[in-house]
Amino acid sequence: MNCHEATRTLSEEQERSLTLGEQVGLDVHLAVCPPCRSFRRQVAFLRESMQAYARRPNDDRDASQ
Amino acid sequence: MTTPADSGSSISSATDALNDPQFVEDLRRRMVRFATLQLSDASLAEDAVQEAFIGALRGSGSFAGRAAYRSWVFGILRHKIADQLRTQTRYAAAPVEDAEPDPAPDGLFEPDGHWTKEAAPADWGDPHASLRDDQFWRVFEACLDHLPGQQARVFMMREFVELESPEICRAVGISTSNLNVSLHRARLRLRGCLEQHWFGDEAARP
Repeated sequence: MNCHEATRTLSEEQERSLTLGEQVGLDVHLAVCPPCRSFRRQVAFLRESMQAYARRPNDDRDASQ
Repeated sequence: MTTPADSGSSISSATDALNDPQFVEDLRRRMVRFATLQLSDASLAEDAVQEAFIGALRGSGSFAGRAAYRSWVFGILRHKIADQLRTQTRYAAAPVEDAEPDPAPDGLFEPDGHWTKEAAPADWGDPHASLRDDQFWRVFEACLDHLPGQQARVFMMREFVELESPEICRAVGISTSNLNVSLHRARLRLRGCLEQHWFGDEAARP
């Protein structure tokens, strides 16, 4: 598995359960690839921030008046 | 201006917001743009936005100020779009899987599929503190606005309207593999944009 394939698998991990084969291949790649480990954390953060974005109570300064 | 008598009143806050034509027009334009992208139908989009504004007037929302009003009315629109997309099944079943090739996006990966030096994701540390930073959200919104059409559409359906993958495939009429390719590209692009403009060493953070 190379980085392009790993990022595709990490993106699909957000959509469905990976097969055992995918999981093993991914784990082997992530063990030796810090940038893809960063990508995995960032994809999870994107989902969290989109949820926060959708429910954000305020985003400008008018509460100060 | 807020007087002691009406401070804390959600009615007066909503009225303040709605009495500012510039605020309402900016909000309406943003909502129509979003609804049109999601529904691919200008008149359905106008209707959904209209209904969201009416729903916000009817609702007993407690919002303190414009931002909260904006969030409230956008939330109503989000639910209307989700309902509309769930009923507007374009195809009885998702299209047959097409094994279309998925070339790596330009500039991100070497020919052998490994990250290029410039594109390799950095360690963002703990990014959660940024969620409380108004400036971060402006960068975030700008990055979302720069996603190309199809990527923006399905990414927002997935992560903002919060439809499940099969619902998106039915509403848009694309295969699961098409959807996964678009979501993958959107995530690559969005994280790249955030790193370039916020989290990276080169980012011009205040």
